[in-house]
Amino acid sequence: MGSEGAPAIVGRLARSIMEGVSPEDYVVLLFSGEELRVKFYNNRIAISEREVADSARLYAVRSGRHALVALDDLSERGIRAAIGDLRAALESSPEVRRPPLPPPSKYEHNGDFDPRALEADAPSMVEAAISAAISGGARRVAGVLELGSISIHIRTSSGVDQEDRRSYALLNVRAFGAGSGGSEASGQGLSVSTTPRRLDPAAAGRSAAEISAAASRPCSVEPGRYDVIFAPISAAELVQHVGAAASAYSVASGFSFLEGKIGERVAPDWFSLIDHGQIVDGVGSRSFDDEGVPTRSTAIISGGVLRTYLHNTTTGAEFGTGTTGNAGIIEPGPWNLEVSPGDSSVEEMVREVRRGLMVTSNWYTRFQNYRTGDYSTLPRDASPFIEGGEIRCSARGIRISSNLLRDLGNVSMASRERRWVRWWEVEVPVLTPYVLVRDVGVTSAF
Amino acid sequence: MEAGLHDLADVAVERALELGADYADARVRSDWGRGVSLRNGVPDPPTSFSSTGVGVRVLVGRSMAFGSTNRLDSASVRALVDSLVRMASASSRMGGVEGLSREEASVATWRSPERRRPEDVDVSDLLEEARSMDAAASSAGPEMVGRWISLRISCEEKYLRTSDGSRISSRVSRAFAFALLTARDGGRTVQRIVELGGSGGWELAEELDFQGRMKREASDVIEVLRRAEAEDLSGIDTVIVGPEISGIMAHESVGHPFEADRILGREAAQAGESYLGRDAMGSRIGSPEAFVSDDPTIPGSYGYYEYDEEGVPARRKRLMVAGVVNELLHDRETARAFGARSNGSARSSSYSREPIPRMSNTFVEPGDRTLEELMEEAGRALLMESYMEWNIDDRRENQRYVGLKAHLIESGRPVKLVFNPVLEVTSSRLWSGVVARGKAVEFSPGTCGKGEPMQGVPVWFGGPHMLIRGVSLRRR
Repeated sequence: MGSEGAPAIVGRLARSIMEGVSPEDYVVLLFSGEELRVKFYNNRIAISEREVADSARLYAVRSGRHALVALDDLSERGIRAAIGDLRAALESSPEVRRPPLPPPSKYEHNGDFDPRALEADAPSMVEAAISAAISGGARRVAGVLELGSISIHIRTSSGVDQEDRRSYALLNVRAFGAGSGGSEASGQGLSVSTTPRRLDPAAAGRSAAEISAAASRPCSVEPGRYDVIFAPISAAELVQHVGAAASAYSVASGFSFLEGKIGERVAPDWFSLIDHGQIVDGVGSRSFDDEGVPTRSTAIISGGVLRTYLHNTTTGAEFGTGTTGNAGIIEPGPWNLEVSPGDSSVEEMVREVRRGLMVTSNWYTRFQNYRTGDYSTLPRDASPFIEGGEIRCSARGIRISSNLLRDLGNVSMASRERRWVRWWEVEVPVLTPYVLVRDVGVTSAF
Repeated sequence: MEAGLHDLADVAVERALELGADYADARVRSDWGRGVSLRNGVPDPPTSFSSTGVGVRVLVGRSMAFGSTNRLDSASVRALVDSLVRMASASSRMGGVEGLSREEASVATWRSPERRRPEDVDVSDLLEEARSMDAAASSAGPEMVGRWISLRISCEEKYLRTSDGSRISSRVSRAFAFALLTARDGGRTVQRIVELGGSGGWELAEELDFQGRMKREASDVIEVLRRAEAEDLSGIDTVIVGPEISGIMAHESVGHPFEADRILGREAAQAGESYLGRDAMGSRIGSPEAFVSDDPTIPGSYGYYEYDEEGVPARRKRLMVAGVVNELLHDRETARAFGARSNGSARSSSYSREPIPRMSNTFVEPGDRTLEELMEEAGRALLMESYMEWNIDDRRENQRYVGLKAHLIESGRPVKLVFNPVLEVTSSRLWSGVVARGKAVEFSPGTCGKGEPMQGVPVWFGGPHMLIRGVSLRRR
């Protein structure tokens, strides 16, 4: 923020909008953050990084015309240019009906913020993760540690004037060990928190090594339909796509398999999926959304029934429901997703599987059809093959080829144990148990 | 970009050297753009973005540090550099960088050609084009129930300074269109993502024929919806893939695994590694008909650049020649580790992201056949022109493409549209099975993802029609 504090910059931006475009409505959002990253591979640090960034978003409404500008040059010159862009956009954009900005409300911060998040000894944390993985049998270890702190200010023409401060600490570890027959095995471990004080690098390293060890006996499995236990990292990757499909903007744009399903049963009756504006260790937490609406907890699915989409004021008006406090000025989206726990242990879930798999991590999910939910995704790291309730080996070279709506309906068990997941491939934080899905398509190119 | 901003890069490099860094580079970069989107003809609020900042990299011994700030004054930049040198020193006991390859210093200024600059294009121009594209899609048939169309025009200006003497100024503009088309009839829906774009000004909308392409793509979607049939493909082992698919194959199954940082393991916890080992140069992975190149210097291409993010001149790289590994994608760090020279493949997506080896425009090189000749030669086969779903494992072996516009070929001609055919194949089987290639190369734009934090960079991928034998096909 330099010598000028955030409130002063917000004030300067608000004055610039008022003087530059004379709007009936406006929003100023200011993000000021700093992030430290340490990226490592082959047991060594590849690069240490520090990112210092101030950025703003300006939204203005005049005579039924709307425009949004994002900028990160907050000098007089940068702001002048951005206001020019805003003015030009307002002058040439069409009139579109959107609801007025909401008035101020009651805002609460859940207190989950660590002002010293950036002071942690990052190299030592990385060293601890690597050492734990190597002690667990890994030969080489890669990953990234991210420590961050951000403050978010909002000021709107409707009277909202708020600040939110958040911190995060994320560690992703991937361990590589020896597999049988000269092959290599791998596993992934995560630690996710809003503070480095609750980060556990050694546990993440150990977990990565344990999963890698589970992959040390690779085997081929025939394409077909299997019962699949999605471990938390993998379950979260799929759940984030459910969260994205729950955005009303996705529904209206053709990107959602949840279109037309409100009020319908989409999962077993014990299953719920909740979006939390704030939750302890939810690194996507915010106390207000981009329109100044207090965030809240929203049950997307409860009792197995799809209850609502996620809305800002515009989509809320379009769908006749009102906002759920999930703006994005254009596109609403989830903050932190929580899947309800089950009442089983992971061991009990494995014993329930006659012929199936456990997927520990996956990546590269792509849809053939967003409207139907037809997708495929690639398991990576260990994928234990289960027969008669026992793990036999680790399936190699497989692909999940399924339908996400059908998978939701075929969820049959979940563990009591849950983990927070947020990493390179899972952008929305998800708290999830192990989830058993029946009758999932599995293919292979090998 | 204002000339004064260049000084900040010089300040950063000089400060790093004062503090004892063995190497430093700094770039001041400005990005600007505007965009519009239409949901079934109704516009969202138009958007614009502007971003200016400084990114600095220092090497101290075997420790590298990178940092960025958008506080654009000398004191802030010096403070950033001080912290980077401290960070590099603090991690010296675990530093894993062997150094950087020695390269000739370059002093240059380059710009991608543009006739109608993004700054001269206003929202109404973009909206008019988007509406025309929307109308073109709608006209394909009443079943075209969903149209989400987005247009963006942007420019990127940069000044790069390295401590070994390179000083590069550049400007590249780009135009890009994205559309999701949804056609529905009863219980069947068909979706298609369309991406169009290149480097240049707003003249690209006309040159690349955004409206015409949208009309053709929408017609194809409607045809698939109305006429495609689920077909048992289990007896077919031959496929002709069109340029869109040979291109994505070149990108996913050759370009990515030929990135030298993946081979070293530097992306192991993110985008993964490679089926190639450190000793892969000269090894055979494809048939004598398999040729793949990456070339940032193609005029008008979406991945166009003349000097890379480390000041190394850009050039074409022939990655696979007659099925043999010929060249990898190197930046200066990986080149040093391999005992090679950089081939100008370092890119970053923003001033706030470190440079890493990336593709630019990756393509299967053309052959000597017409499509008719390929169909004659194929026998009973599948001609797959476009795809929707695709993915590949993190070692770049196990890949899949699910066709959208795909015909069954018999006796040298298309006889039937096939619904959702699946080609699932390993990289080794794919490139070993290349039998013949067409004459005409076409390109598609995309945003390639890699790095931590994610760095999306503009690329083209392309190729000719390509005849492949020995593959398995099935329906979804």
